[in-house]
Amino acid sequence: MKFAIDSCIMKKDELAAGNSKILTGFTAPFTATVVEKAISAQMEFAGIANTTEFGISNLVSDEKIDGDACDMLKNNECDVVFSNDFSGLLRRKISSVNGYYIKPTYGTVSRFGVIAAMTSADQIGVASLNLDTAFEALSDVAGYDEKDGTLYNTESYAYDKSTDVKTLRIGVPTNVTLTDEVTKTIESLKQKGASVIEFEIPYLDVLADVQYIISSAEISNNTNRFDGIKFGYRAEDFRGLNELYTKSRTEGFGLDAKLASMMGALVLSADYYEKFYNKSLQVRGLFCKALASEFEKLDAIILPCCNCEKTNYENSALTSIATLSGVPSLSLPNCVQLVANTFGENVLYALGSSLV
Amino acid sequence: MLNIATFEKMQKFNLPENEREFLQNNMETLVKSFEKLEAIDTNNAVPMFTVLPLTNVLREDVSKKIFARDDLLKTAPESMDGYFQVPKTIE
Repeated sequence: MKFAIDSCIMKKDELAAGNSKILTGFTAPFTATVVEKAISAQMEFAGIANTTEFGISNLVSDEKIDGDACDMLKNNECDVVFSNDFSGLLRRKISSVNGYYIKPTYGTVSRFGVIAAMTSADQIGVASLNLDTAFEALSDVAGYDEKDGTLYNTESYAYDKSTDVKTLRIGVPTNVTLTDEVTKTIESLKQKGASVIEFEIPYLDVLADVQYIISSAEISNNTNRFDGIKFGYRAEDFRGLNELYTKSRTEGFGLDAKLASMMGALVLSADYYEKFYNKSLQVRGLFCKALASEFEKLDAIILPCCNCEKTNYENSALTSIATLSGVPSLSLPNCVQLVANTFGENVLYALGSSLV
Repeated sequence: MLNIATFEKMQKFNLPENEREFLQNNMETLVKSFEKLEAIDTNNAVPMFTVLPLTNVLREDVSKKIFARDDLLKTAPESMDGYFQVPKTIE
């Protein structure tokens, strides 16, 4: 099996620029655990998939990203791509190549060797055109790693699709506009014997805001290390240290990274900390509690990954459910998304397989 | 109107005028959207920094050499004699 990694995951001596000028020429000084595990499982390294700058959601720049995970899969350059899709971009885009993306439970795949962005939600997942291949690859790389202090203690994970779909309760949100494809998928699952229960996704109207506030705060902290001293790019013609920092960072970062960086500084500043940042963390807690309560009655939720009529920002609400709460999700072809409870990957695998 | 200059300076940027105006507009739009949060009752709600039930990770107090100094310095724009090189900081 051939695997690629996104440009925010490191493999020693390979470029790991996170598609940012600020990391021009940065070659990884060590190898990420996920890469070591993939190679140990006899997978063959096929290359680096491009991303948006540090995987940050492209709210303001419309740069076309060539050679990304979707391109590599479509061109048969690899069988799977390991990618940290904290922003939900890949989860929304993977259907353009009729592919799958598994975002596993937060804390099951090591982040050692990943360029940190949204630390509290960074999680490597797997993109592939084949569902079985995706889960096989995930099984190869998931599991405890002493180099990542935020992992569950489970040594390894073996995923299977044997769960009987007839036993599963699928939640259909009443406060999301369902696409025709989602409606068709619900009908198909009903025919296979799954029960369907209507429910309301808690706090949906503010999830995009909560995701942006928390992610910008974390991205802002994480990208402050890129200062023209330790990694990659340094501007020319500066007078003194302060100008070195300022010129390098101004020239080195793109628009969305600058926006996230400054928004992070804003939400963490004295005037806005309580109003926006702390409030978002509280809403995240309330949301997770409410979602856990819904999962007492449901085994999985079905909804679109995106809605073509909405902006990237608005669509991020749909993928932020799994991002903010750490639960696993599976993006299917036709922009259909399934979300399960923590460690519910097998439910997703069974449902996904029944639809192939 | 947001005073974007504060955050620009804080994050060590010196934006060209067209970028400053563009980002200012976007920041104001985002802040306006964030105002929705005010309507949510979060009294007694605990801020959630992580979704994991984290506990302290303890190990034996034994030093490990994970990285080689030269490997890390190779990633820097400039280095000298085993150190990161920076411009003169005190005139």
